[in-house]
Amino acid sequence: MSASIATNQTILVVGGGISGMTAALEAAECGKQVILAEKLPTLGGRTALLYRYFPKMCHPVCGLEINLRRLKGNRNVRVLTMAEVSAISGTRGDYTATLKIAPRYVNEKCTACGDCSNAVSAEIPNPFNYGLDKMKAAYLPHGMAYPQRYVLDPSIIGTPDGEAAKAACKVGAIDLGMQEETIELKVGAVVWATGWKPYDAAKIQPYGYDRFANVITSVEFERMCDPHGPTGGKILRPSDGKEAKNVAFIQCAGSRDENHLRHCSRICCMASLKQTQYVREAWGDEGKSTIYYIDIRAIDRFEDFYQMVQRDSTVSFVKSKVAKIVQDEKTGDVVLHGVDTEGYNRYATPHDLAVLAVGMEPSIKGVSLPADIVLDSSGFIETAGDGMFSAGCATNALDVNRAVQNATAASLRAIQVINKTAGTEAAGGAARMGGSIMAEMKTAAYICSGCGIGERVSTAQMAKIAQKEGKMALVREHACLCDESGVQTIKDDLEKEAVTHIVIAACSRRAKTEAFNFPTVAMARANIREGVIWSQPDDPEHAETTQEMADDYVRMGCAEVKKMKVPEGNPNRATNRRILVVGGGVSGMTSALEMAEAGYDTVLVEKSGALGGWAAQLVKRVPSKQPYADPADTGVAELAARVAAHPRITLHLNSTIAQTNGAPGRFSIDIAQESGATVTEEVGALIQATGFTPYDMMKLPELGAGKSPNVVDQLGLEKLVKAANGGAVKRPADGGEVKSVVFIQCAGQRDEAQETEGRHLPYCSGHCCATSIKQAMYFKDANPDIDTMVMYTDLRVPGTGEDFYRSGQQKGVTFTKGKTSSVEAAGNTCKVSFKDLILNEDATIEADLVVLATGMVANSGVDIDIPEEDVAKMETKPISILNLNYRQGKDMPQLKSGFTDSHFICFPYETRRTGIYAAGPVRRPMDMTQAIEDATGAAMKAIQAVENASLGRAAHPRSGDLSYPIVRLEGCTQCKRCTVECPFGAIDEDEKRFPVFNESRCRRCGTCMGACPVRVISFENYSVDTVGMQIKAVDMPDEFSEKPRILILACENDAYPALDMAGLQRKAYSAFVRAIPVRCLGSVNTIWITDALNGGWDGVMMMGCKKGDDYQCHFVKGSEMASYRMSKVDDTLKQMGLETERVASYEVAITDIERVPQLINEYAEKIKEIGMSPMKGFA
Amino acid sequence: MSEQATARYTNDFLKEVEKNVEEGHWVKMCMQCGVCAGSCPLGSAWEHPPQEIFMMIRAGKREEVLTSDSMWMCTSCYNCMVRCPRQLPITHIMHGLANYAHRLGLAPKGQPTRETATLFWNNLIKKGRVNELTFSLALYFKDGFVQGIKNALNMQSIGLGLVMAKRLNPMEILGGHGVKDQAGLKAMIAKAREIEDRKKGFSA
Repeated sequence: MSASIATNQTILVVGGGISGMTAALEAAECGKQVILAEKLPTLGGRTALLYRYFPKMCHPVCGLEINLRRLKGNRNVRVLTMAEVSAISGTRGDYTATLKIAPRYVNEKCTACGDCSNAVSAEIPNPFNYGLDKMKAAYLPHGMAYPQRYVLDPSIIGTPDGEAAKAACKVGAIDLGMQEETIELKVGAVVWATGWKPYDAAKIQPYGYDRFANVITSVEFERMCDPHGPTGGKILRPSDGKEAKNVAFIQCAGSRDENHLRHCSRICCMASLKQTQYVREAWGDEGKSTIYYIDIRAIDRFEDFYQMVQRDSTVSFVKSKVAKIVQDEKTGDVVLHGVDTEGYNRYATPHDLAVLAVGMEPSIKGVSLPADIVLDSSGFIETAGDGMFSAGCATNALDVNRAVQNATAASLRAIQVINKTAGTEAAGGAARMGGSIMAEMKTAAYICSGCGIGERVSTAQMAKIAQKEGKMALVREHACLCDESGVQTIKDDLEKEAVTHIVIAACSRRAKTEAFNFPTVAMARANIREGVIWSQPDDPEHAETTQEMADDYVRMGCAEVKKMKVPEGNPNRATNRRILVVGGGVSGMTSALEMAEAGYDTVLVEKSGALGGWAAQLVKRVPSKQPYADPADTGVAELAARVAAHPRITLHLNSTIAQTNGAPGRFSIDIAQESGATVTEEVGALIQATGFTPYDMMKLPELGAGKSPNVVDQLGLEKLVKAANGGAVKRPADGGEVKSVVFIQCAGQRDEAQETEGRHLPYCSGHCCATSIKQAMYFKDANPDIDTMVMYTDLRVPGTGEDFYRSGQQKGVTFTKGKTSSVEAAGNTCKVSFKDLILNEDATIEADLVVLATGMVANSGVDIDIPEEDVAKMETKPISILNLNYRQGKDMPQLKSGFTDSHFICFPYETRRTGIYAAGPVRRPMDMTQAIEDATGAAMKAIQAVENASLGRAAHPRSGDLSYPIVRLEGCTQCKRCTVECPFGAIDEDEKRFPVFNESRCRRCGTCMGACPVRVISFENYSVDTVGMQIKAVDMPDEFSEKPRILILACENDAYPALDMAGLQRKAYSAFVRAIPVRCLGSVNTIWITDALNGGWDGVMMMGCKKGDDYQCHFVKGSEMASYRMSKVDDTLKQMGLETERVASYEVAITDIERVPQLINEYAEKIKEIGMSPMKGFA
Repeated sequence: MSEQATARYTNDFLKEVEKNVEEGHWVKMCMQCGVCAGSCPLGSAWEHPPQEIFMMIRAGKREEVLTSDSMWMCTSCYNCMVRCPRQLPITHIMHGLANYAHRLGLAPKGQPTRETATLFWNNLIKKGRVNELTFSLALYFKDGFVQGIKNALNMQSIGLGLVMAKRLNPMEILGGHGVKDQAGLKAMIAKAREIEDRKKGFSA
């Protein structure tokens, strides 16, 4: 490692958590050089230590696996672990960063075999379980650790343990003399993604975290609930190991507290709501959770989750900040003391366990930093300097989804610096296309005997099989294939022997990707390590079946590789790098401007005659900079002026989209102008920033809308204040001066079916609390004698919004926790009737003006999931926004409540239409600060989309994949299954109803390949044959051998990694299975199943991701399609005279490390019961 | 001002408190978390805990707040203050409210804390020093002669003990010692009261 690898074209990302990884990957997938520096020995950060994410209850490591795969497949990112930035000097475009790299004492040769750990006896507290248990002093941080290399704790260096570790290592990976290194890097831009740390709970004295064993923190509780955590997933009391069924969750432990953290940490309410479901998961109806809270801040569509938890009979809520905790010495119970403020009820409630929802403290707080970095009142980075940017929780207290969004935006800001420095605008990455035109196929197989493979199985026999059965032209054995000499052997063969197809029989395809990186040849990896020797017991009894397994994987690898080609990239790629933005509000303008600043030409289409959107109607905005005290200038006029003047932005006002044709890189968009004329713009990608419409307050007559002119919505108030033009605001009813204003929060929002049959919006719009405070300030700042009251049920001002709340109170805005029952006109004023929830009584108040905080309704166009006959019945027909000329509908699919959001927590921009991104409130309800971030992130994704399209490669989640679907039209029967089933609307139909593949819209999941009944769709390196030949290649023992063969088709995103990790943890499973990774269960063609069964396989296990509303499938509905297809396989089985149990489907999560071996063993037992397949020997 | 009727949920009473009650301007900063209510060791004796009183002030419940005996329960342990996430000087506000209610004559009659405090104050300003003997006797006899004798007899042994230990001088009954410049003290207190009255709008 030297300074020479980095230049002023390089982006340095500091912090390897999810935000840092995202920032690094987004830039790298745009062709930029990135250095990702992480302080710890592994990437993944805090999210890797969470058990599940809210609100989907999915597993964080699932997204981590995708991000790691992106990283392994991308040569633009250099990862430095155990590296800390100690100094940065220079200026934008020309920084010099000094990094200190702590010694790991283990070098790149490490194969993660674990021998060193077995040899060491010293144990240290495990920081990855927050010290709840101990681990060996030679350790792999966790199952998903990347780089997959062990670490020696400095405490054993110079001790016999250190020597023992060194002696145990067979590959010479341990270097006890390793020293701290200091390196200097030249970089052009820096992204600070330094994240957060849990607030030190011991500082909250009344809660006794440092005194009572049964008071733990929320992050510790995550580890406790994780099956791979210190208690194996059991919720136990630390004091006595008793099952903890009655759990208290204490909100705002440190947050919203001027004695501790000033800000609201935003995530904790949702985290505790989520954790109540861990309690339910563990104990069912016997569990009991109590949440002690001040305000439940379940913002935007997280409200659904809150409502769901409220309906859970095992969960109760107490509106109270707990005063103190004492531990009952006899029972070990923790007794919580306090007062339920809703009606004043004093409690002293015993619980088994108290979980403190500890706040987020920025990691960077208190660290010495370059002078340019300005921290805000809470220690978050407010501004980082000209060429330095902050990302994720270094910026603010953010949940994962928002952190990723924020990091994506930061990535673009860094790219802008790089592009300007280089003077290469819209440069994009250098095209690293696939191999040149393939010479004649020459095959080679490499059999590794390292990591104990040679001791467990006969590699000589495997080599013989590769040669004889696999027909490999070259076969070589190597003692450690991933080391320099091994890699060199392969390289030499590629060069000197003109080898074009290689099989590597060593470790899993997920391991040692840096060493086995041969992009110019076709490569198959036979998983002998994780899949065979690590998953089989090491005893003589199992030796024979273990060898059979290894032999079969070699046969399969050889069969597969011969059917593979090196992908050459989509030949129909187009290189238009212009980007069109629909919507000229703050989001749209921001997207356009950020892309233009990065050097991309932009077309901005706005329906109205002026830029600015709703924001232009605002008098002021909620502040986004410290001290977060006063309404700020909206900046809309300035933004609009910059957009209008920018040479790279073409404006179309009074225009709408008449038609959108094409695909990423070659969209052709007809723009209808006011005059009736149509102009066509050719672009490479689209951003839909069409914003929102305020919820129609006329639907709220009970809140006085339409009954009194003095009842207005938030935009109505902005108009009144604007009309007053600095003078006193007048009552609409009679022009009298306004002396009192009541703001009613959640008007027509957070409306669940139970109470009002879901007449209004079910979600929370997120911004309205702060907006009402801002509007109350309009009055208070002008005349403190005007009474302004905000009526709320939960005041939701997350992050530094808490400062704004305080400022409102300081200015005399009063806040009443109450529920409004009615607003009536009373003469020239209004009468508001409500229940005061603190004083627990009904009350009325007279007000000159009532402002209803109604929510945001997304302008998302046509809901393509509503059947046409239902659309016909609708009163007002929805108008399409994009008018996509796609077979699958005119607009983007909506996720929930009309918002065009991504379903994925880790990937907030994944719309289901490639190259088309949603930004701003059309994606999710949000305030202006967030909309600006969101629009910048969407701009990043759009830029990436045009870059990918121009190189003919896939977008997320198989980003960089150069393979593309190839269809043999002469065999096509026009059945339309591929066009219907494609989750991304990539396939249209021509006049003759043949499929038209728009490869740049394709995400390469292979669902079309799985759907095709005549098997005419394939990818160069993944086809019906690459898998089919593997199925046929295995050695099939006869009916009387008592050795059944079970085929596992495992999703490569979740199930296959779970199998790998089961191996890593030496969880044994049946030797009768043979696993084949598939891109997605949706790509499974039923021919594989019938071929397998005809070929004598005794059973087929299909392992895919969760389907349904909370699907985990990375390709939206691949697993659902597979399940649908398999529901029909029973008939085929019956025709073949086979038991239906011979094909089984499973939903497997990436964390099912214990469950997968269990499933396999149970299924093997079942096959034993059913008996061997009668089909053997006929194939 | 003090006599005017306050409409519910207008800011009239809140403003009155801000103006006239010591640290009253903090009342608006409460966010109703309730940690004060739960932290009070005498909490169960309170009809309205501090956070509720703050809400009542905002709701314009002037009569109920000022006639309440809740704030008279405060023993100045400062638990609420150290725990308040908004750092409100709750103890001081409670005393401020009690004092204000007392001055207005709205504080509950016969409230022991109030009576004791009144006796203490009256005793103190006589000579600038508290006369422990006359103060104790005044306390014993505040509920009548017979009760006073009973109280005195009950406390007999403690009183004698104090005398033996020279912690109580029986001769203090004759008036006792005081500060040097008693006229100055009286003038000072009169001036302080005048300033306070002017600030808080008391006429007398």
